[in-house]
Amino acid sequence: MQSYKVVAKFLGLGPFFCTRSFPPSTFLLLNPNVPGALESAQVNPLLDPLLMTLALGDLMACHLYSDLPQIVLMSIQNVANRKYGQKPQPHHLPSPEGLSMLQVSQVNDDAINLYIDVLKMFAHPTVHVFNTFFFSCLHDGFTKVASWHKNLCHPVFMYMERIVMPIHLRSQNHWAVVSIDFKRCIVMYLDSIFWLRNFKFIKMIVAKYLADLAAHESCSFDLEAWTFVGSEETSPQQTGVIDCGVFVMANLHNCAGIQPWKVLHPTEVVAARASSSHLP
Amino acid sequence: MPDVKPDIKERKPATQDESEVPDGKVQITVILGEQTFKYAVKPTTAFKKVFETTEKQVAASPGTLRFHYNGQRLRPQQTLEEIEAELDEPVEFHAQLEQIGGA
Repeated sequence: MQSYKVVAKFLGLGPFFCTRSFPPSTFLLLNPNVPGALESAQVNPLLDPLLMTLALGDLMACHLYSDLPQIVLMSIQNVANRKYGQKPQPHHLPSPEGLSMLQVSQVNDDAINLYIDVLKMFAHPTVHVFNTFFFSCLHDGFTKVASWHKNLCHPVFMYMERIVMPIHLRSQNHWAVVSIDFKRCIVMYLDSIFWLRNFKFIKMIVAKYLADLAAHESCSFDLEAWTFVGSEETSPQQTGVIDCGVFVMANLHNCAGIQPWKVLHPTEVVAARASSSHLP
Repeated sequence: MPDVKPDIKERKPATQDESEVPDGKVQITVILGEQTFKYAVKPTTAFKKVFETTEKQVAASPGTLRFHYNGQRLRPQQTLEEIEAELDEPVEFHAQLEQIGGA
């Protein structure tokens, strides 16, 4: 409890937060090893996909869920203020109702987008991570997402190093990741339950996206020059039946180019869930 | 095409076009799949009313729709002023259902 109070003070949180009791995983999430750790990607606990998922699930089960996003948000803002000296974009605070599925520890858009908000604080400006709704909109046509590129370096093909997007496959209740490397002309598909049929579908959409993006920016584009990579080797394969969200968070972390890499062992998530069975 | 408003007092006839949006208000188009909903709101009106009205229109549970503007997630407390919407072009919000995934 004492360590939490120190962190709460460090984050500039009020007395309300400093006197509440929180479940153990939240301590881990909020307890940096050294003062100032929140500014460092090396030791930032907010960047750990497993901790983030477990903490959200714990808080949900303890009916304390609504406090966590507020704390995460404040810490993000604190980092942003110190790192960039400016007010960050407003972040969406997930609602407890919207996260009801976390009771069975599946991961929804709010959790992943909150994590992406943290990643973006540490990613290089030439690496952009779109939110979970980008691909769904892209599926309806490039015109639906043209305006999403306003804040990127243009032309994207020349100045962006990488674009990363989480993929939500609604019919399969599944998450995956696509990383587009503009420097090396490689599209990588990372899926913790790799299925060739999904890869072919994603490949088709992404190829069209690249062609449309090039046309939108009046750049030349040759699909033949691009390599699409996707297999069971591109991402650790999950062993649990509900863990794809955590693997997606780890893959997003790595695709965003944040060091050190987060490589999940296939059984790591199942084991972590089992060991966190302290919940009421 | 349904033409609904968050506030009954703000409702305008369906035959009106965009140029007839009341003074001081801005027309917002919410796109949800094949459906579109048009609202005239003040730049200082919180989006909460827009969200709730749209959810009622499609019989969705409160909090289950996600609203975006140019890729930016919108919060219920935000306003057009706060998000610095570009009012010289049509303001379109895209709504989507919650995404959940495990396996």
